[in-house]
Amino acid sequence: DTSSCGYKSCHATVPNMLNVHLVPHTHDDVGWLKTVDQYFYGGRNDIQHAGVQYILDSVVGQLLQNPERRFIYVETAFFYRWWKNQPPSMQKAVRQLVDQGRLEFVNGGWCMSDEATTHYSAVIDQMTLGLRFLNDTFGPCGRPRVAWHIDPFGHAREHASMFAQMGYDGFFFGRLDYQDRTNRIRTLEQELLWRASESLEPPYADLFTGILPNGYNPPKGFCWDQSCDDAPIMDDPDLEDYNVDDVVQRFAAAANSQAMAYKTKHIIMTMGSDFQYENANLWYKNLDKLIRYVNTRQANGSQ
Amino acid sequence: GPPAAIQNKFVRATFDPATGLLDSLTNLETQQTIRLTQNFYWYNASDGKSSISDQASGAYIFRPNSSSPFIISCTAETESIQLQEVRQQFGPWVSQVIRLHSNSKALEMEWTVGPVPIADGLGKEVITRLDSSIASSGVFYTDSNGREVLRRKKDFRPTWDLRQTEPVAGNYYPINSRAYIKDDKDQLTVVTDRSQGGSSIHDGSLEIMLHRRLLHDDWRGVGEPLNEMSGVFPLGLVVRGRLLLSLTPPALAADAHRPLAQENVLQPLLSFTEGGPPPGS
Repeated sequence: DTSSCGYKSCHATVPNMLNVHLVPHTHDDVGWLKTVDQYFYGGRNDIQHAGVQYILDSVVGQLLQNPERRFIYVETAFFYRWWKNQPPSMQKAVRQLVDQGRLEFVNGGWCMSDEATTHYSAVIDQMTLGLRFLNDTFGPCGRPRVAWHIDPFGHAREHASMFAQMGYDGFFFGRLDYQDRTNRIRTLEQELLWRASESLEPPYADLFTGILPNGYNPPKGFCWDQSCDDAPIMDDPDLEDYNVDDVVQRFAAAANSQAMAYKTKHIIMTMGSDFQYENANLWYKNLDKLIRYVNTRQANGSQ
Repeated sequence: GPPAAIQNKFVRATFDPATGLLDSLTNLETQQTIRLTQNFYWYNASDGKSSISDQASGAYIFRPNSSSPFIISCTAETESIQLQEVRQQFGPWVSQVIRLHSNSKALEMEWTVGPVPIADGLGKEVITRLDSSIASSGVFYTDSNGREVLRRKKDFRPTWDLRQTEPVAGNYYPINSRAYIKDDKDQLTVVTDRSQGGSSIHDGSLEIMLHRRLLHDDWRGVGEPLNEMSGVFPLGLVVRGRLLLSLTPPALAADAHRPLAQENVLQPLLSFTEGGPPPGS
């Protein structure tokens, strides 16, 4: 593996400072209020405004504009539909994004499976289907490193066992019992090593597990998708409503508050939600500014 | 009336002649017998009109209005077809066939539920409940995605000090292939043919939810009540499925329920052709 994907493509972090990892993502249900193909095309937007083909078009365009930008994609059922309709020039550009770790697949199964009602053999089938496509299409750089179950309604031990046995290094989820969450925030136990089998010898079914801070949504006030109404970063002092200081201050407060519930100097912010990034420019334009202004303040002494 | 018992060389199930309900289950190889009755009940789904919370039962959320389910019928009309099959009718929308196949060590209960009536304006969540003489002490077991089995304890969480707010719903767990209760001598295992919810609300009892029909949305985004109807089932969906019951000593139970569950998932695929043998055979 001589490429620059995987762990080699990680952005540098800053020791002794709080590091906020902004993770742009879109949660694309493979059928819910609409059918899978309606979601892909953006049909029946009167039921729910969602068109995955536009999301992937838009995200790829934004990633190509700035090599620092990152995006994770999850549901191979949608990605496969999009990929097979792309011209060779676009496929080549996307391969380069994947090779450089700018577009990263997480989970990587055909879908994000339910954990309560699924049979293990069916889970393995759908995971294999998605991962095989990624492997055939992108090789080792298309291989997901973490499992990403941000929406399933509770989590089964056998799923953690399967992910560990498939070679995933970590697992992130959003939904847990509200009493459990309260307790884990108090005891700083939102990150843990899940020992997911009573029969397999450790570490074969051990899986690092991270509970996401806000379900899978951005912190309050920082949703810059077209479906949200939060104020953009208005940074031209010649114009009205200049708000950079306010945004940076609110962001620092959100980050510090979140960091109190986790053990290390690294926290995650999930910058996205259901079928977001249909116009990815809105997100990335504001995230670029956020990173620039917050890091400027950090360079000036704030941690 | 019903036969006193159905029996093969492995299993004997007796019926109460007064009610037509299952009465006991015997493993003839291990010479163990438990008292076992089975019946169908329904939980009255919360419509959200409650002073505690306005949460309604829906596609996602199970919220019974009261912790006691309503019995569908205290008795079953029975019809004995052969020694190995008893047909029970609990009402116009619930029936069951209890079978012993000649070479099976499991008692098969084929249930048929629906159309669940809603003319009374009440959403209903239908369960089959097995009540036995097993001293299960608040503990039961459910599988995880059809593989390893986890111990469940009523009103208990291994990872935090639970404040139980729903004495029934807060004790339901997913069952993908099996659930069981046991004591020192007896283990009663139920193998399912599909993923279902289940629990042990009382000692010695194991219940499995078979069908749900609801009149309210539970506000998790889907925006419709779970009220399944179609051209084939204009009055409401009718569902049919099977449960397999196995009674053994606890130490021998896994040897029984593992192959049962595998045989259930990896069933023989039947294919048919008209006429004689295919060409070339």
